[in-house]
Amino acid sequence: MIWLTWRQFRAQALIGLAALAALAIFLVILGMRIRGTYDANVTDCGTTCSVTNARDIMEDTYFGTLLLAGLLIVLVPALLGAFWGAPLVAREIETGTYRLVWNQSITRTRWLAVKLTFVTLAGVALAGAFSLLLTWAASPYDKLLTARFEPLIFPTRNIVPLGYAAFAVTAGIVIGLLIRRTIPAMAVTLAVFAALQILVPTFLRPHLQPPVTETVAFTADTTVSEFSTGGPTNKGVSINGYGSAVPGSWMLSGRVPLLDAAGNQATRDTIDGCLKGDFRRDMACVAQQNMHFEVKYQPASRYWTFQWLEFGAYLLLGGLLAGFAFWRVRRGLS
Amino acid sequence: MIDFHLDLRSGVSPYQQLVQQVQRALRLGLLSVGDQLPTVKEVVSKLAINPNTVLKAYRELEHLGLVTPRPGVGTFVTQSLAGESLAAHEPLRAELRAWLAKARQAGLDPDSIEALFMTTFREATEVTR
Amino acid sequence: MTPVLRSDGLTKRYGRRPALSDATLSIPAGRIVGLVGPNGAGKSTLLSLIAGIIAPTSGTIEVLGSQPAASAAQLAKVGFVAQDTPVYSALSVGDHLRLGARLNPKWDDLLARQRIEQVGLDLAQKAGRLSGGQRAQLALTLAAAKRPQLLIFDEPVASLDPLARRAFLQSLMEFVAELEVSVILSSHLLGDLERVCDYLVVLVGSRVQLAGDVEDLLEEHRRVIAARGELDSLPPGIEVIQADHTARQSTLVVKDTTGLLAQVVPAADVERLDLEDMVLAYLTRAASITAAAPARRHTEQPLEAQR
Repeated sequence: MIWLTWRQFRAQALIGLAALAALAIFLVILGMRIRGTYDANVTDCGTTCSVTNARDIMEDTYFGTLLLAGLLIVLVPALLGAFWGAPLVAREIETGTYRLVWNQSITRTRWLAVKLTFVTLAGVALAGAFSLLLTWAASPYDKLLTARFEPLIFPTRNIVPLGYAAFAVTAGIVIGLLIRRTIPAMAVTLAVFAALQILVPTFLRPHLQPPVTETVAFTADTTVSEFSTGGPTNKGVSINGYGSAVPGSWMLSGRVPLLDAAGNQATRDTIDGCLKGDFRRDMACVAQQNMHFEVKYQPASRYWTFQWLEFGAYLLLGGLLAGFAFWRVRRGLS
Repeated sequence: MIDFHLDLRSGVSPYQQLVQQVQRALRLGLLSVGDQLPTVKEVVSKLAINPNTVLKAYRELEHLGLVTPRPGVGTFVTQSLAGESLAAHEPLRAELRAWLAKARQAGLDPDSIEALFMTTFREATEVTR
Repeated sequence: MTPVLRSDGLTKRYGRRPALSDATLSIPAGRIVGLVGPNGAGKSTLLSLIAGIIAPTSGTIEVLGSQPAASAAQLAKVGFVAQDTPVYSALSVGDHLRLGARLNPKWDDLLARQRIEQVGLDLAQKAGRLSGGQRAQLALTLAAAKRPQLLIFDEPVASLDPLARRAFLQSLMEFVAELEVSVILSSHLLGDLERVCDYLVVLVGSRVQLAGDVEDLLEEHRRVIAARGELDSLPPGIEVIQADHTARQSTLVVKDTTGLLAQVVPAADVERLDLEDMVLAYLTRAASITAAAPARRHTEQPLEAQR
């Protein structure tokens, strides 16, 4: 059965390997260039260089490319689900060959087990190779910009792509088994994967562990990226972008209100006296008014926990789908 | 070796046709004692009929004492019918010739004679079967 | 010997539509079984149930003493060639033989290769490029070389030209002679079945109309010709299957399980039937019931009488 699975899978495997080779060349070159930039601006740079400067240079040069590469890494499991998973059973049903292979001296359960395991492992290996290459290539960038926990980067590094691949391939197989036609199954698999890639970071990932709530006193040293004194309808003062004060964390709060000692939101009138024109002196003035704000975030120390949790969640979902497929295939076609 | 053929429209069952064809071959001297009949596999391979049909025919021939099976080798003819038909039944043949002449005189054409003969023959063999 | 097939009230429904209703059969081993019926009668459904490809809606089925497709050992005993002989188009003939060898413990590789050579197939040829007749021979070889106890064919010759059809049947009969295997063969071509089958199952409108050894069935059925009205009351045990009437004469096809027919009707008015006429009588009866119209003399024959 392993021979037959390989024989049927051969062409797809070769295409996957070719894509891996092409992407590997690209990522190795990218990785070398990133290391070059890092060395030039951090390691080998003398006293003239600042971390902030290096950070800006790194971001300007590589943000776009790495974003694109990251998109590819998330696309890979989706494509594996559609091109490796969905046709696995659907094609046999569509072409009628299930009536040949289900009559060989092998139970349907074992038939599915070999095919499913083989292709899922192959998919996980491929996604793993891609992820390994990208994580390696981008590691100086990630070290400098400490943004790896953020929603745009988190799914593209380390081990979660393997979980995505395991889920996508298994989902493709089950959808193919239920829909019984290859093209619609491919489309549905892509849709399901895309839906999860939107739903999980929005509703599940933030709550994998209860977020840390921190009350931050607004002092002269507090660094925020945005200080808003409200608009015509909303007179409240709010701040945004506290994340840089907690590097490597995942800031869940966006814009939060600035609160006075009693817990009420400061309004423009409250701090009007401080706004004289010089940003630094104005902030120092506001700082003396005993204000604070609350942020929710996932601390950097939880990054790997979250990687494993999300990997495990996708793996579990894939496992449940596989279990369903085995149950369903036992009783034959209809 | 004998070559079998099958006529599904004749009203005679397939196995009976095989038996009759062997008997006819024996009578005409096409098969003699010691000759081997085709194997079951050879017969079905040519005629595309049920092997059981051939087995049944060969068993019937064995029952009639005409052939005997040799396990692992084949089925062989043990008795000839050649002598019987022609010489021993000359009187019958003469009678038949006379009847045919009468039928011709009555105005029947060859097809009608054959039809008359076949229907009567079939009825007669049906009853005795 | 264990019956090749035993079923009790076997039913398969797709939604509300019954594909097979209440099939109760007990088919002994060592037969070549002909499964006859018009298109849509349920033949494919029954064969798929026997092969274990689908599961029944209700009723029981036992193939060679076990549940269909229940285990690898049971699957090894049954060779199934589905309708339009499915093969993997991208795999070569040789690949298919390798498939058979790897997935079947009792695979007889010598037999398979001999037969492929005899039929003239090229091992390197992709299966998708084979003609219909060649594909049928490949599928037959794959099913037979695993040395099963039962071979099942779903309309294997329906789309083949007469030459390929004859070649297929010749190959099949050779396999049967060599392997001592039981066969279930579905077809709507009666002529082929007549030379090959010694057991018959007639399926019309998802129901079994007739089942039994061909010899026994032919013994039980007769064509009776009599004056109109003379046979209006026949004793119980004698069932009229089909009746044709002219103004003066009635021609009936009857089934007589009592043996009393000779007493009721003089011998001269009673004829034996051949297999085709007997089957057609049942098909006509079932068709006229479903059409809810009175039976006319030359009703549409949904089957072909092929010689």
